[in-house]
Amino acid sequence: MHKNYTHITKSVDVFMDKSVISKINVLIHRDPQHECGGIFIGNVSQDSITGKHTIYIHDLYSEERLGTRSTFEFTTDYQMNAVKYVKKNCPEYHIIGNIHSHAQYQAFWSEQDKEMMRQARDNGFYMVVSPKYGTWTAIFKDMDFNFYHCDLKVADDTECEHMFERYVESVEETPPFRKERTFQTASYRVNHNYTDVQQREMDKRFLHSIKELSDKKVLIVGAGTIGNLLAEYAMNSGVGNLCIVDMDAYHYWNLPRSSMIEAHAQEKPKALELAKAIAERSHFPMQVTGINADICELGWGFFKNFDLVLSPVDSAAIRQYIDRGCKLYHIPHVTCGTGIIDQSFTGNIVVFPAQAVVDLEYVWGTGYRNKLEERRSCSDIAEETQAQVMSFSAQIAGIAMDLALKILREQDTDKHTVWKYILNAVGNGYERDNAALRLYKYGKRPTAIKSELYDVFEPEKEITRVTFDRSQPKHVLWEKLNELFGENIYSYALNLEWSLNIPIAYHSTQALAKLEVTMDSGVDENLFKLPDCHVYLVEGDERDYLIELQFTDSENTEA
Amino acid sequence: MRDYSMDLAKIAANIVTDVMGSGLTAEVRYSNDGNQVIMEFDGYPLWKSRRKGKVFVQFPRSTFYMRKGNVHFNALQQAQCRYYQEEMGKPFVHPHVYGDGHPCWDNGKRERATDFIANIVETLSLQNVTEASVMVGRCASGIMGVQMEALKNAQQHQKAIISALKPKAFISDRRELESYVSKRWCSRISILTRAA
Repeated sequence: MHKNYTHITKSVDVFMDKSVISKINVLIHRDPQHECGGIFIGNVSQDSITGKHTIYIHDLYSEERLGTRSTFEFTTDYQMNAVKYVKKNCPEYHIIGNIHSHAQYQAFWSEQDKEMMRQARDNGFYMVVSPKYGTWTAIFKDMDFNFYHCDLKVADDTECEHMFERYVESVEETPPFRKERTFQTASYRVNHNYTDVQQREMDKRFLHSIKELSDKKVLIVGAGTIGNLLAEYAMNSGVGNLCIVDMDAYHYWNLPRSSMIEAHAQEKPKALELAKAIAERSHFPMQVTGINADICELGWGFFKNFDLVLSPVDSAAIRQYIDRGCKLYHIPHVTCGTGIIDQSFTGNIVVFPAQAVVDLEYVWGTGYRNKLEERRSCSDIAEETQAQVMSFSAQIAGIAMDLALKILREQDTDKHTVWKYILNAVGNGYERDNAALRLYKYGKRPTAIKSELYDVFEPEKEITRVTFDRSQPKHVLWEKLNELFGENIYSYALNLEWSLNIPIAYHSTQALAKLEVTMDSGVDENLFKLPDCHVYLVEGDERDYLIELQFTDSENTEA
Repeated sequence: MRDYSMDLAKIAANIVTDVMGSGLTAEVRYSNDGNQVIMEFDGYPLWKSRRKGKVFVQFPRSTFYMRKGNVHFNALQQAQCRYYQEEMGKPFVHPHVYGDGHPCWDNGKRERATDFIANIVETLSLQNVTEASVMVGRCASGIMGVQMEALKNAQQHQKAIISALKPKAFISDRRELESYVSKRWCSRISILTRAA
């Protein structure tokens, strides 16, 4: 008896009808919290020359019986019912084995399973599946208690990967930044195959079809309280591709208000844990990626990958950063947050469509640079537990996602007007009056007011793209800029403050507000601190220019 | 193509040596990556030494620049400025210069080129070390001691500097210093802009 089945060298072919797979899915997903079981009906044959066994699974007999969370018993009457079923429905076949589920556990052979297999002196095909993890394992035992691996195929030539309704796989995604940047990432693909009947039922319950947003890519910056809620709503709306970026970790003080996260995620990176939680809970096919990074280090070019950016961040500077990047690339941006004024909750949502006429600097007023020293993340202020934050945050997140869905479904006919919603929790939240939700509309760009962005950015013009290999001397970049702008000046300056390169321009030491590109400069190591793709304000003598600078470093470049 | 940033930095360095005395000479260059200006002053009496050596003041190249014929000054953060002595990376000996060489700005003005140049003069001559600066402002570096000991040592070193370099008498009077620097600066940049 091979107790651990680790020494099995031989294999058998197993062919399973597609209808059996559907029956298995129905069986194991009926109540994924409890174990259940079914009995395989089919045939076992053996090649008289090679001795190799072939198993054909024609049908599955099952009843609506459930076991406990960790056991299932094939009772005598269950087995007798199966015999009757075979005799009545498929007399040319036989009972050849069974399948049972491991509910919330992985698929493996427990001691009880092994004991069960030791009892029957007969050819037997056994399978155990995990509805939670979408994993399965199978084994064949012949009459002499020899065990075999199973090469399982679907009888009608369908790929085996779609055996179960749902499974989650880790994917190796090529990140949109250089490999030398050591950002932790985690990417999952959720596969969920609904039958046509199931999909029609789901569509009845959706304002939009469950597939309508399957090709949409959404970026959520911030995996805190509202970030968790937005991720959940995006997941349940059928968004096909979700990316979450955050640079912090979950701690005991913010776990209670992180609705998607469980206790085991304590001290682990927020973005990675939230991505994993989304993958585990999603009911729709999707890909979800978590990136543990400061969004400023990914560069504005990172936003180009997305149809919409949501920024539930608690830093004014980061919101500005995200907003400016979205403006430059004409990407819709929804930003939101909560706070406390006079001991009462207040929250705001600002919606910027793709061609917004104003930016966040205008909506909020200038002076944001003074706020750069303010909190960069929740982990900086551990003492604020905000016990009541969940219910209010859910209101803010709900409004934000409602507005985001309108954009994603391309129902926003006005792509220029910016809307700001201010929601106040009045009293204890039981009372509402007209002042509780206030709406502000920004439909025109004011011409009399200076704007750091719009004074140089012309939305109707495309930003010039420049590529540069950082291992080359900087004067090569100067030549490219001089060819573009033709000012023939000694130096062009990349204004890192305008470009909101916050980690570099506002570093506590070695701060670099401008990076000089001169006609005689050599290799500049500071360029390696910059994101791979970003938009810069280039200061010339006659005027300023905007360029998108894409670094195309050669393989032997040292970061 | 003329490098006006270098011209302006040289003017500023020139004014410093003019005020600090002929014993101090200045050379100006860029850092290897071209992002910083380095003023190298030679002939500076080093603390606790009979030797004279070099002092370096490093700041962003974009601090002084010319644009459309006008001279501009970019006020800089203290983190963007560095004072070194003897070699780059070795912090300048001064109670208000940190171990990495960046100065602790006092509450004085620093919006104009005049302010910046006057600050360099006051730092090199240790005029900005006062009882208030060491007792209330505290010391960024304990290299000269702390509190009153730092003040005492700074005042001793001041005497050595004055004796060695013979700077202009008004360096101890901020208003007069600013006035002189401002006049010199305006005069020199006028010449530069006319030539441009």
